[in-house]
Amino acid sequence: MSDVSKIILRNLGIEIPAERADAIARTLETMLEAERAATGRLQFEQEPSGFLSEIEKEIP
Amino acid sequence: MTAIPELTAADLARRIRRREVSAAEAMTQTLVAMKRAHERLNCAVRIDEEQALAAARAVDAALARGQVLGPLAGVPMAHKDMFYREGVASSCGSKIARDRKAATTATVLKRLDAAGAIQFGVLHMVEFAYGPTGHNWHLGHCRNAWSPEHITGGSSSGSGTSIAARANFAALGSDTGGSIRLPAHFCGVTGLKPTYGRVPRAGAMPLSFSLDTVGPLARTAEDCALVLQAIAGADAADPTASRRPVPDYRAALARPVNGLRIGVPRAFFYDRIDASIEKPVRASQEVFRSLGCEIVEVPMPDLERWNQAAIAIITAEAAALHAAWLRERPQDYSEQVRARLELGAAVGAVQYVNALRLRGEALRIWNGEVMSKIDAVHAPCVAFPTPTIAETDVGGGPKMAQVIAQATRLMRPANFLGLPSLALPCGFQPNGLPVAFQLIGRPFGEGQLLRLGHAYQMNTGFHREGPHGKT
Repeated sequence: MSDVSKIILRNLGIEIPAERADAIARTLETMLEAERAATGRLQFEQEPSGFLSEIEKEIP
Repeated sequence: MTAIPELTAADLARRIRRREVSAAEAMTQTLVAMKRAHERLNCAVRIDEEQALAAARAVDAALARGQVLGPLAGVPMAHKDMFYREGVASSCGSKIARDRKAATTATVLKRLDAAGAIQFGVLHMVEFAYGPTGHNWHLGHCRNAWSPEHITGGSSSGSGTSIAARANFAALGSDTGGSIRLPAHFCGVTGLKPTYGRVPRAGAMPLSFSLDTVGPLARTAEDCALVLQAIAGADAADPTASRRPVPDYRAALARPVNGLRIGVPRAFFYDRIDASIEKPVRASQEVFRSLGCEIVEVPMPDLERWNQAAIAIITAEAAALHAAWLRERPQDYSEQVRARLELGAAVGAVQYVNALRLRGEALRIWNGEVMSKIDAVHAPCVAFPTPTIAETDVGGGPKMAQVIAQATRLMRPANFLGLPSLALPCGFQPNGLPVAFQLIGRPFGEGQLLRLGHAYQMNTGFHREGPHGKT
C-alpha cells in the first residue's frame, strides 16, 4: 500500500489489518489502472450533459 | 386445480379479486411453504404470521363488502430485509444494523401496501447487500432451492430462492452490481433491474447512491410488470427518482414482438463462457427469431474498463457510507464486507470523480454505437457453472477479488450505464441447476423488455419449472 493511501486511511481513522493490506493494494492497483485507462481521454470541459441528463434523452 | 403456491402473482391476484380463492387461504398456504423452505434454505429473517393473516382476512372482508381493491390485493410477498418500515428494525443482513428501528417507511413498501400486497416477512440477504454469492457469515449462508449445496447468488439471496421454492409470489430486491439478476439466474426466477431513477429509493438501504436500483424478482415477466407498475414513478421523498411518466407495463405485454431487433454482442459477454451456460442462452436467441425478431450482431465498447470504473464508484461510495462504522465497529463486519469497504476507502477522490464523469460519456457511446441500431441486447448473466457454497466461501481472503469479479463481470455494464435489464430463465446446466439470460434495454425501456420477456415465456416453459417439477 502506498504512503499516500496510508495517509488517506489514517485520516479517515480506518485501520487495515496488516495481513490484508497487500491484497487490498494489489486489487486497488488493478482497478485503478483500468479506470485510469478508461477515463484518460475525458476532456477538460463543463459537462452540461452528464449522466443524469444523458439517461433521460430519447435515442434517435 | 393448481395449488395456490404454484400460481403466479398475477393469477393469484385475479382469483382473489374474483373471490375464487380467499386471501386468508393464500396466506395460510404461503406461510406453511415459507416455514418449510426456511428450514431447508435459510431464506427468511423474520416471518410476521399473525399480522399477515389479519391483513389477509381484512382483504377478504373488504371484497365481501364489494370494495374495489388494488391490483395486488391479497398477494403475499416477503422482501429483502433492507426496505424500512417505520418502527421496525431492518437487519440489512448485518450485525451492525439489526436493532436499528426505521423512522419512516420505504416508498416502495408504501406503494405495494397501497396496491394491496401483503408483506408477510423479510428475507435473507448478503450483509449490507455487498456480495454476489448469497454468503452471509452473520445469518448463515442462504441455500439454493434447486440444490442446497449450491449458491443462490446475491445479494437478494432470500428473494431469489424463496420464489424458486414457491414460498413467495414476488419480492423486492436491489441491484447495484447484479444483486437482482444474479439470484434470478442462479435460482431460475425472473428479475428486473430497472433504469437508474425509475423506482424511488427513499427508505431503502443505500450501498452506492450512483448505482443503486430497486426492482422485483418474481416467477414471470408479467409478475415483474405488476410489481413495477406499483412501485415506479416520481417521489417527493427521493429527488433522484425520475419525473418521467410511468407507462402501462401490463398493457405493453400484449403487443407483438415481431420486427423488434435484438443485438447479440460480438465481444465481452461470451468471452471464456462455459458451454453449459452458452448452449441454453444461445438457444433462447432462436426463440426470439421464431417470434419474428431480427437477431443482429452488435459491437461492444470497452466494457472491461467501464466495469473497473463502476467498481471504483461502488467501492468509494460504500466506504463513504460506512466510514463511521468502519472506524467504530470494524469487528462487527464479516471479513469479506470489511475488506471490500477498506478497499473503497483507499480509492482517491480524483479517480472516483473521473469514474463518475465517464458515465455520461460512456452512455453516449453505448446509445450511439449499440442501442441506436437495436431494441435490446441479449446476453448471458454469468459465464460459469453454478458453484457450491463451499467453493466460493472465500471470506476476505486472497481469492475474494477473483470470485467477486467473475460473478459480477457481465452484470456491471447495466449498472454503470444505468440501464434496465431483465433476467429470464432459459434452461438448465447438466446438473439440473438453472440458467438465465439478460435483456438490456434502452433507458426507461422496461416496457419493451417486459414485452419481450413475456413473449419468450408464453412460448417456452422454463419459468414454470420449479425445483419440484413443472407447475
